[in-house]
Amino acid sequence: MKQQTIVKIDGLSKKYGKQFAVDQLSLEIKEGEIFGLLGPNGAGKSTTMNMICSIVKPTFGTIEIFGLDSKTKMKEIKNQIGYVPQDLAIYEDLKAWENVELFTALYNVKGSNLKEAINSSLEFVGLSEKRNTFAKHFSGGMKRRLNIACAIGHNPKLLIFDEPTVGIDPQSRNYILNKIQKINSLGATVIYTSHYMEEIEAICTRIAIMDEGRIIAIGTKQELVEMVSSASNKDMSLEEVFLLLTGKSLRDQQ
Amino acid sequence: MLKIYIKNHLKMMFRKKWIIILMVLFPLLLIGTLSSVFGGLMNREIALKEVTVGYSIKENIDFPTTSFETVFTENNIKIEKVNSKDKEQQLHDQSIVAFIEISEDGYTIYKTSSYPTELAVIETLCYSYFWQFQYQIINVSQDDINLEIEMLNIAVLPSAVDYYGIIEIVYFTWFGFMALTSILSSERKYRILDRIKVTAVPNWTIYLAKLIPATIICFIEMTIAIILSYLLFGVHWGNLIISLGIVLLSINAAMAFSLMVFTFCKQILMGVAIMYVSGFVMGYIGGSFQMYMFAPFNESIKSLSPIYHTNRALVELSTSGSSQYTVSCISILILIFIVCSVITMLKMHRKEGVV
Repeated sequence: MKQQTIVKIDGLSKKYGKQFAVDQLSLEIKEGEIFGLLGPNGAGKSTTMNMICSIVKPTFGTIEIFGLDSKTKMKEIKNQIGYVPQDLAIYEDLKAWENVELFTALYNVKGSNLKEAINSSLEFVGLSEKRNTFAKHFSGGMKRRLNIACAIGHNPKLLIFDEPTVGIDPQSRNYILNKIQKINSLGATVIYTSHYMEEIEAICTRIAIMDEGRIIAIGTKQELVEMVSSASNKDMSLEEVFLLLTGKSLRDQQ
Repeated sequence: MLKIYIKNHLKMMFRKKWIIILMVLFPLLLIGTLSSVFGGLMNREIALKEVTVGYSIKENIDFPTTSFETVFTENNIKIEKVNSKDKEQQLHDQSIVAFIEISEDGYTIYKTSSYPTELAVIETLCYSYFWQFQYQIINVSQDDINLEIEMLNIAVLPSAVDYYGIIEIVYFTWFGFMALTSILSSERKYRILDRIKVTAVPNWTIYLAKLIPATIICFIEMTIAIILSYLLFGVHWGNLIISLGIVLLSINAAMAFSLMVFTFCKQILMGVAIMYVSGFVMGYIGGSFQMYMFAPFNESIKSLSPIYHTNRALVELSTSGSSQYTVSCISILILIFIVCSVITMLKMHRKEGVV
């Protein structure tokens, strides 16, 4: 069965001053994929994500999501997107359930549906028993899980994760990765960025490597390895592929 | 959506109890301090001494003496008929402070150099009364004369407690933004608005979700302060419904102004500093620290401060039951609310903005 295209980006660019943060980027993300976006600092990953989420307006190019043009149908698109930002975008002075209530209600979920969404979201991330605890009293891992719960209450068809596991212990990370795979198995398409190669390697069905605002390689992990490796070296890790493609120089100092 | 958004913002604001406590306590502290410091000075300046005025009418004039006497007695000045021949003696004895001789051509006031304030009031009353009297004689027949007895503002100035009790509440309505700062600070620190902008929530909902709960919280704070100021100091507010309505409008305008300031400030601290300075300046020229009638600014400068209009309207409503500043006060507060709201919305729309 032919997979439906969920995200179609064509010639997307974002210019800040004279500098292109994203330059002529084109890609397609199919339904049911966990699509990984990799790149060194300043590669343009976050800008690309922000343009998909309509936080940032593109300078040129088009984005189609669910077959709808993001310039004209953004309201319809937004109701089907869930966004888990890199920052812990939760209110620390609200209880866990209140945070989920607030962010889910913003997608027009009301009444008994809202109550159900709060319960199921908290249960999904394992915070049901902590529903009445203030977010400020949570550990880093629990806050990350709550951050996810706030994005899934409205059952989005497309979920965007921007480095959702920064600064947490391996147990919490493993838990979150399992849950992302679970969300995907329930029918949501996922876009995922991270600096942790093993995460991308573990969960992503397809990966795009970005550098200097452009996609320099795209494919499954195996396809990426084949792209750069010689016949004698077929067991390269994703990190080795990444470093071969993007180089070893520090990007923050450029 | 808006209801839940407002509800959760309200919860967050209520949980910052120390801000609520300070917003209630600070005006009370200022009322207590300023009214006790300036109380003696203000009472000496303002309170009219009990004085008696004498008057006589030339025999051939038909003059409405009852209404004439009422004008004075209503303004706490004793008035009695005195034989014109005795006027000099009585003025000399100070049994009367002024003598008004009414004739066909008008009236003449004989006065001593004592009691200048009371004499100024007496002259004003006479002028007001005879102006109305002359007008009615020209326009209606003698039988239909119906003079309107007016209580003059000059004789009913507020006590220090009433004055500071009202104006400090007005002053603190401009600091109600404090309840907003924790929410704004969280939103900036954790980039919560980026998450909100991914939803289809319109900008006006984001705006109202802050404006409405912040206004509710500040109104509750100010109402508690008003009740406590009445119980502790006996502050009189005149018509409480109208006064509370004006206080609510003032809070609304102040909130719209502060949200506009915060929209333009990248740092919360900068917004807080601007709000404090602008609140202080408006209060300083508007009579929040020194009575507006003694403030060293001319009327046009004082009129620039919305606090001045609010102060005058509320103080005069308390002392006289009405104020010509009520309309200007309400108009200015509504104008501030509309202009600031429009600017904030335009800024949010134009620049992937934040509130």
